[in-house]
Formats: sequence, C-alpha cells, structure tokens
Amino acid sequence: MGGGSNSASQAAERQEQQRQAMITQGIAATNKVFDDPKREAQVQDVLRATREMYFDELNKQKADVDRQNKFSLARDGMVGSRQAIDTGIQTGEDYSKGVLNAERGAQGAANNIRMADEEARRNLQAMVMSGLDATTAGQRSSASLAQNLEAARAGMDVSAVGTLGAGFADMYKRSRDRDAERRARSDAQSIYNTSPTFGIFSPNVSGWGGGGP
Amino acid sequence: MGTEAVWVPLVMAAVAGGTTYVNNRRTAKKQDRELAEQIKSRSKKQELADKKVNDLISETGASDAADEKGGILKQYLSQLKAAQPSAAGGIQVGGANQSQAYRDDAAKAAMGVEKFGARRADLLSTMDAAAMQRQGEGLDRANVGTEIGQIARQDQGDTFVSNTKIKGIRNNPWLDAIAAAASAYGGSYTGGGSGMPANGGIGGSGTGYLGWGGI
Repeated sequence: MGGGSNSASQAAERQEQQRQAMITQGIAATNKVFDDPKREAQVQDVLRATREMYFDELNKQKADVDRQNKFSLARDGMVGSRQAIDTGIQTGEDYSKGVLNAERGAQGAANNIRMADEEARRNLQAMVMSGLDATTAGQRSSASLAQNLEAARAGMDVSAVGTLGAGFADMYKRSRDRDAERRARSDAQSIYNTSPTFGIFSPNVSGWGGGGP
Repeated sequence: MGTEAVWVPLVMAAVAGGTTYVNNRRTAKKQDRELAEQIKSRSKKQELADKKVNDLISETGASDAADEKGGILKQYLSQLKAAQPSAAGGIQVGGANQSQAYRDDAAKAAMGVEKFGARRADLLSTMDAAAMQRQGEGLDRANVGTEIGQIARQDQGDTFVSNTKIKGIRNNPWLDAIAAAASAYGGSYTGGGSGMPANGGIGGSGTGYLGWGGI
C-alpha cells in the first residue's frame, strides 16, 4: 500500500490508545469504589449486627439455663454438691462453645459480604477490559449475582443460634422429669398419709426435709 | 522496422505498469477509507459501551445499604406492629383484682416485648441490607452486560456489512483492460507473449484488507 493509504491504521491506533486510557481509568475508578472506607463500614455494620443478634440469643439462653440449673439443683437437693460443680462446668463449656459459634457465624456473615465485594470488583474490571465482549461480561455478572444471593442467604442464617443451647435442653428435661417423679411420690404419700420414712413410697433422695434413717 | 520496435514496447510497458499501479492504488485507498469508517464506527460503539460501564461504576460507588435498610426495616416494623397484640398477649394487663404494682409491671413488660422486637428488626435489617444492596448491584451489572451485548451484536452486523463492502471494492475493469491491451500491444512489437497485467488479471485487487480483528 502507498503512503496515502494509512487512515485505517491511524484510526486503529487512535482507538487502541483510547481503549488503553479507558481501561486504566476504569480500573482506577473501580478500585476507588471498592477501596472506599464506606464499603468496609458496611461490612462492619453487618458484623456488629450479626454479633449482637447471636450474642443476645446466646446470653438469653445462658440466663435460662442458669435459672433452670439453679432450680433443678435445688429440686434435686444438689446445691453445693459435686453435681452442682459438674453442671456449672458443663454450662460454662457449652456457653464457651456458643460464644465461639456465634463469633464464627458473625465473622462468616461479614466475610461473605467482603467476598461479594471482591467478586464485584473483579467483575466490573473484567467488564472494563472486555469492551464489547459482552457475553463474557454477562456471564461474569450472572456468576457474581449468584454469589451475592449466596451472601444474602448466609447473612440471614441466624437459625444456627437456636442450636447453641441444645445441650442445656436435655439437662433441663431430665431435671423436670426428676421433679415430676418427686411430686408423684409426694402426692402418693399425702393420699396414703404415710410417713416419708416408711412404706413403698419412701423417697430415696437426699436433702429432703424428712430424710431416711 | 525502425526504432519503434524499441520504444513502442517500452512505452506500452510503461502505460500498462502505470495504469495497473494507479488502478491498484485507487482500489487500496477505497478499501482503506471503508476500513477506517468501520474502525470509527466500532470506536463509537465502544465509547457507548464504555460509558455504560463508567455509569455502572459510578452507580456502584453511590449505592448505599441505608436505602435498603430503610425499606426492610419499615416492613419488619409494620409486621411487628400487626403482631403486637399476639406478642404481648401472654402478659395479663389489667383486671379488677390485680394490684397497681402488677399492672405497672405488666405494662412495662409489654413495652419491653415491643422494644425487643424493634431492636431485633433493626439488627436483622442491618444484616439483610448489605446483602440486598449487593444483590441489586449484581442485577445492575447483569443489565449492563445485556445492554453491551446488544451493542456488540449491532456492531457485528455493521462489521459484516462493512467487510462485504470492502470485498466488493475491486480494480476498475476498464483500466485493467487498458493495461492488458497496452502490454499485449507492446509485446507484439517484440514478437513476445501476450504480456499479462501486473496485478494478475482484471478485477483482482490483491490488497487483502479483510478480516480486521476485534477491537
């Protein structure tokens, strides 16, 4: 081709320069959006709210369990006994597990939001670089959207807190069973007007007002 | 034969070569112009796509979880308000034989239930808002991806038409014929062959512009 036939190459060169400038500027703009402290503040909000929610639930359960233990031990006449200490240990360990689970859940929820942001950043930068290759950009958008949905689901998963006190529930049930048994014996004694120290309904628990011989 | 046996073939060869050169050059220029137009057209479409991406980046930067939170919290509180009689139903307020102290405590407890609901709604809406904000941003990206896809498909159509036009730009057949005739005439003086045109025949452009790569 002669010297005059280069308008296409000049146009191509100009366009390439524009494209490079656009990519540089687009990537910088995307980074600015996702490096903005406002984004991290949103993540911290989620962390704080999730943590508060989980710990509220956990502490409420702990208070319930402490109360139940107190009455349970009193009903069984076990206050000051080795069982009271064991119960305290069990409660403390379960609570510690609950604290760790709650914190883990809160950190997980915050991390999901961070991951969604990083995915969005990469996705936007891919859109900046891919230009008119919209198929790729569209696919990446869909993948990113799915991740966001995942993050939303994880953020709302507070049901895990409900399992923190599962160990306590069993202990409480046993105590209630023992209490029912004790009341049944007491009722039977009243009906037959028998002394607690005699007869087939003699209680075998210690700490009872009229203990055995 | 005189000296014309020498200069006529030379002149004819010059005419044939010059005509072929001019013809090829004009064809190349036309193709170059068409290709330049194609590139400019693609460039405009690329600018449009870039603008959409830039707008999307700006919108993402401006998006705030507070908007989502406000909407969700309003709905949560509305549901709580509707459910308030049931929520506080377990607390017996009032009654003729209840003491004032009991009634005060019961009223306080009912208020506590309401406060608990409001606080829980606030926490839940904070947790949901960030995720919903990002869901919205993901949808915006998908939408812009679709819009860019439309521009890209339009560009593919335009490029195809432009490439077809470039393929159709060929040498002027009359100039090719003149070059061939001059070459043949000059050759006849020397008693040689027919003298084929330099560009390989009528209608052969030989510039090979087609297949411009993607932007």
